[in-house]
Amino acid sequence: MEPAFISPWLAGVLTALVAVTYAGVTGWMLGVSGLFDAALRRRVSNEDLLAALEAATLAQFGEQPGAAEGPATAPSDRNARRWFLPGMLLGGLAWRLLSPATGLEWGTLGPSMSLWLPSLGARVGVLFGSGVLLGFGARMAGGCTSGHGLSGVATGQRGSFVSVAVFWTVATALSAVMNRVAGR
Amino acid sequence: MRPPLVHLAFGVLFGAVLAASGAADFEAMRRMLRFERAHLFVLAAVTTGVAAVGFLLLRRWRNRSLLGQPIKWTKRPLHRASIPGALVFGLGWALSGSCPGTALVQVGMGQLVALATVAGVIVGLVLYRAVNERLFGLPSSSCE
Amino acid sequence: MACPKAEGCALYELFTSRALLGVWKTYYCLGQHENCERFKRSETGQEIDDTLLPNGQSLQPVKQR
Repeated sequence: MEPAFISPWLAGVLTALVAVTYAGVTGWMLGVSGLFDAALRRRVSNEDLLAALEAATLAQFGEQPGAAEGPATAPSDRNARRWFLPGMLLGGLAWRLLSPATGLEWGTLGPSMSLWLPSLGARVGVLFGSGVLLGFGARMAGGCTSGHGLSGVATGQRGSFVSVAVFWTVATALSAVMNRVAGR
Repeated sequence: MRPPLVHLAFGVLFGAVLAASGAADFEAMRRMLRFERAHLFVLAAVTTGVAAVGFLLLRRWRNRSLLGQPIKWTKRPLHRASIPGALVFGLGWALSGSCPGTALVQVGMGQLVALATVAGVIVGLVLYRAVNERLFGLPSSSCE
Repeated sequence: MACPKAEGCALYELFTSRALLGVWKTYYCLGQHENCERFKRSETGQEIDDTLLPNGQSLQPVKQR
C-alpha cells in the first residue's frame, strides 16, 4: 500500500520556501551535514569567548585604546543551529501524526528492505555502515543532498553541481548493480 | 524569538515537508534511483528551481537576516576531496536510500531502525576529522 | 594584499562585536596574512578549529562566573 505523499510540485515549492526563509531569518544556508558537524563541536558561551578574546588581544597587541568599546556582542547563534536537527525529527513525527501514512514499522525502512535484508541485525548493520559512508563522504565533499543539492545548486556553486552529479550517478549505478545481484 | 527555538521551528518545517514529499521514504527513493518513477526527480528539480529564484530575490532584498546576522552565502568550491567525497556519499545513499537529514525524519516517523543510520553518520563525521588531519590533508569542507 | 580567505573566515562569525577583532584583522587579514595560522592551515588542508586565532593561539573561554 502506497503511503500518501503530497504532490512533488507542492513539496518542491514548500521545501524551497523553507530553505529561503531559513536564510532570510537566520542568515544560514540550509545544510544538514554542516549542522551535524556544528552540533558535534564544543558548546561555548559567548561571554566566555569574548573574555578570552580580550585577554588574547591584550597579550598579543597590548592595550588597544577603544578596542573594547563598540557594539555589544549579540549572541552568535552557532550554538543555536544544532536545534534544527531535533526539529527535523519532530517534523517527521508531526507528519506521521497528521497524515494517513500507513505501513511504517520500527524495524525496517520498507518491504523491499526486509526482502533484501531479512534479519534486523543485517538491516542495522547495513544502515550503520551506510551512515558512516554518508557522514564521511559528506564531510569530505563539504555537503550532502541538502547542502550541495539544495543550497549549493540553488546558489550556483560549481562544487555543488559536481558533487551532486557524482553522488547521484554513483547512487544510481550502485542501485542498478544491487538490482542485478538481487535478480530483480 | 530566541535563536534555538527559531532553528528548531525551521527544523520541524523542513522535516515535515521532507516526510510529506516522500523524500524520506525508502521505497520511493529506491524507485527514483532505479528510474521507475519520476516523483522525486520532479521534487528535486522544482525545489532547486524555486530556491534559486528565491535566493536571488533574497540577495537583492536584504543582506542581513531577521535575527540580525549577515546572511552567509556559503561558498562551496570544487576541491580535491569533492569528487571522492561525493563518491563515498553516493555509496551510502544507495545502500540506505537515505541521507543524514532523511534518516532523522525516518526516526521521527517511527522507523527507529534509522537510528543506526544517524549513529553511523556521526561516526563517519568524527572519523573523517580524525583521519583527514593525519593521512589525507585534504582541504576541510566549507568554513561553516 | 588582503587575505583572500578573510570573507569566509569562521573566526568572524564567532563574534558580532567587531571592535576587538578589528585589531586582528588590521594586523593579519589586511596585513601579514601569510603569518596567519588559520590561513596556513587552510592552505595545507588541516582542520581549523573555530576558536583558532591567527597567532596560533586557541581561544580558551574564560569562565565569567
